[in-house]
Amino acid sequence: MALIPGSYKDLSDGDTRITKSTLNQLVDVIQEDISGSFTRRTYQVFVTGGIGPGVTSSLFQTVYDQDYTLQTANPIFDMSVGLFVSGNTVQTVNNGNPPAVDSAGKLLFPSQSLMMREKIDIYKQFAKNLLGNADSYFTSPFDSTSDNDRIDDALFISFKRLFARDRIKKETFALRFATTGALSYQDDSGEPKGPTLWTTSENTPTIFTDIGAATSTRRTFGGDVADIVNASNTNSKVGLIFYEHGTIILDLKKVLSGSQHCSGTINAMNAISPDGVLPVGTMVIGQNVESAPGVTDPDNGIASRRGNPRAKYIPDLLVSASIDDIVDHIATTRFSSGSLTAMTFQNSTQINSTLFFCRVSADEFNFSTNPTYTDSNGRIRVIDVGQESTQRSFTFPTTIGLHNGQGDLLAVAKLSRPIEKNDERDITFRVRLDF
Amino acid sequence: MGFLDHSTNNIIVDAVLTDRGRELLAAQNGNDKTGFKIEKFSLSDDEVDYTIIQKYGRTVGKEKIIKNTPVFEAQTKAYLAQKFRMVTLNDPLVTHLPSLDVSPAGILTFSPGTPRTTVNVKTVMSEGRSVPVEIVDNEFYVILPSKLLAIGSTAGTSQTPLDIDESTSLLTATYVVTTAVSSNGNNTTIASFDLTRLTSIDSTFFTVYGTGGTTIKTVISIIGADSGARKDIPISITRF
Repeated sequence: MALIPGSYKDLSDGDTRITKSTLNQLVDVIQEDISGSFTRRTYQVFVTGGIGPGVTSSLFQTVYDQDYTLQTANPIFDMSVGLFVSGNTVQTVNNGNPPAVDSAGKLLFPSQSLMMREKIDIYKQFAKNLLGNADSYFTSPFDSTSDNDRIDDALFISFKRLFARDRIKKETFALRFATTGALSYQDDSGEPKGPTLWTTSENTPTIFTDIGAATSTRRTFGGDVADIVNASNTNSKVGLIFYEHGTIILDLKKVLSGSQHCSGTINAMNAISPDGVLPVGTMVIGQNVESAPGVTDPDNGIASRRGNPRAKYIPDLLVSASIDDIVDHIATTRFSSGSLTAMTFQNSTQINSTLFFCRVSADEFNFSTNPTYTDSNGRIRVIDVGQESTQRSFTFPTTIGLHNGQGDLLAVAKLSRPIEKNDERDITFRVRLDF
Repeated sequence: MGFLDHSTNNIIVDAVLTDRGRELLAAQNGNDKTGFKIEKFSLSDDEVDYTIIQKYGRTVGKEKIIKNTPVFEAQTKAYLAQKFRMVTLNDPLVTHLPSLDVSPAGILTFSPGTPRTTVNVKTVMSEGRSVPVEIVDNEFYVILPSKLLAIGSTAGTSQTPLDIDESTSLLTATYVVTTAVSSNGNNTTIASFDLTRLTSIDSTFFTVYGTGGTTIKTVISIIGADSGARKDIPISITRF
C-alpha cells in the first residue's frame, strides 16, 4: 500500500548486490548436560516380549542444554551405539561365527545378548547415510584397509541442526572423554568390591580432537570427513567426524579400555531376581559369585543367577546391555559430571545477503511528517523565524524501510543513532538483508 | 522492545523482514510489483523529537538529537514500523507544512443512540499560506479496526477497504477517502465520511477489549496520502 508518494525512492539494479558470508558460532557442551538424567531424554520405543517383565529401551538418547521437560530446552545432540554385523563383537556372541539367519532373513542371537539386531541396524543406518552402503563399515583412519582400523563398535554422536547449522568448522572439535572406567576389585584388589558400571570415572580424561583436518580431509558420499585423533598422540586415530552431517563416530574399542572389567546391574529378560533383592527384569554382570550373597534359584537349584563374573566393557557390556544401558553408562561415567566443557566445536552458517545501497541525494528527504517537525501553526521547527532565506530544513532519519513496487513494507532496518540529513549532504545507507 | 547499542558506528545496517515481507516471501508471489521484490526504500524518524531544535537552537539541538536519542530496535509489524516518513519536496524553501483538522474534535463517541458519526477532515495551512503543490492531498487514508468500525457512505452502504491486515487482532483496515478542493483555497482539500460502529460487536468484544466490560476505547488514524500529515483520533464505543 503506497502511502505518501514523495516518501519513496526507487532502487535501480545497480543499487542491489548479493553477497555470501560465513557465520561461525562457538558451541560448548558441558559435562553435566551429558551426564544428567534430566537433560538426557530417552525414548522407550523398543520393547521385548517373552521372559520376565521385558526390557524397554531407546534406540538413541538426546542431550539437551537444560531440563528437557522445559519449553526453553534445546536439543544438542543424539547419542547411540551400533555394531558392525561382521565385526568381532557380533561374531564373539556366536563363538567367532557370523550370526545365524532365519528363513525370513532375520539375524538370530543367543539369549545372553540384547538388542543385537537394533545395534546392527543403527550401524547400518549410519553406514548407508554416510558411506552410501548399509553393508559397508567405518574405518579410522577413514580410508584404511586394515581390519585393525575397522570400527566394529561405534558410538554415534549426531549434533542437531540447531547447533551444527550448515556444518561443523574444521579443526574446532574437541571431546573430553574418560577412556578408563571406575576401577573395580577385579581390576585392582585395593578397590572396593561394589559395582562400577554406574560410577563416574575419576581417571584423567583424554582429549580427542579433529586436529589436522584442515590438511587431511576427504570428500566422500557423506560429505567432508576427517579423523578424530588423540590430542596427545595424533597418530592414534580413534574415530571420524562428518562435518556437514554434524556426526561424530567414535571407535569404542579405541576410546574405551574395552578389556577392563565391568560390574553392575543392567536390564535383562529375566523372570527372577538375580540376587533375591534386585527386581526381576535385571541381571548382574561382572560381580564375583563367591563374594555375593547367593540365593537358590527355585527353578534349578543353582546358588547364583548372576551373569558372567569376568564381564568386560567389550564385548560383554556391548552385547548384553540395551542401547539405553550402554548410552547411560557412557554418558554418566565417561564425560564426568561437572561444569567443565565436555565437547566443543564451532559451527558454520552460510549467510546469503542482499545489500541495498539506498542513495539519498542532497535534495531528497529533507522534510519530515513527524508531528514534532512542525509547531501548532504548521511551521517547520528546524528553521528559525526570520532565517528562512538562509536556513534550510533538515531531518534525522533513524529507520530505513524496504518496499516492493506497490509500497508494501517488506523489511526494516534501524540506524544505531539518528543521522542528520540536509540539503548539503548526500548519504548512502547500505542495508543488508540476510537469508 | 529494546534500544540499539549506539556506541558502535555501524556502516552497514541490518534489516529484518516484516510480517508482510514474510507473508509475501511464503506466498512466492512472482509479481514484481506486488510480490517479494524490493524496489524502493523510504526513511522515517519515529524516535526523533524536533522540539529539541527549538528549545536548544540548531547547533546544540542537533547534537542532542544525535547523541541523546535512543533508537528502538526494528519493529516487524509493518503497520507499526514506520509511523512518520521523510518526504522529498522539490521546493527547498518550504517553511510550513499542512496539518489535518478533524471535526468533531476530541473523542468520537459511539453510544447506543449514535451508531454513526460523520467525520470531516481538511488540510490546513497557517497564516494563509498555500499547501505546496506536490503534497496536495487528493486522498486521505483512514486506518481503523475493522472488527469494530467501518466507513459507510451517507446512503448507508459500507465502503470496501483498500487493504485489511489480517495479522492484527482487530483486522486493521485501510480505507481511501477521496478529497475535494476546499473553498478556503490555498490548495487545501476537504473530505467527509461516515464512521459506523458495527452491530456485530458482541459482549465478548466488550469483555476482551473494553474498559469494565462497558466501553471500548480505540483509535483511528487519518493520513494525508500525499502530505503524510497524520491525525490520530480517539474513539469510545459504549456497550449497546
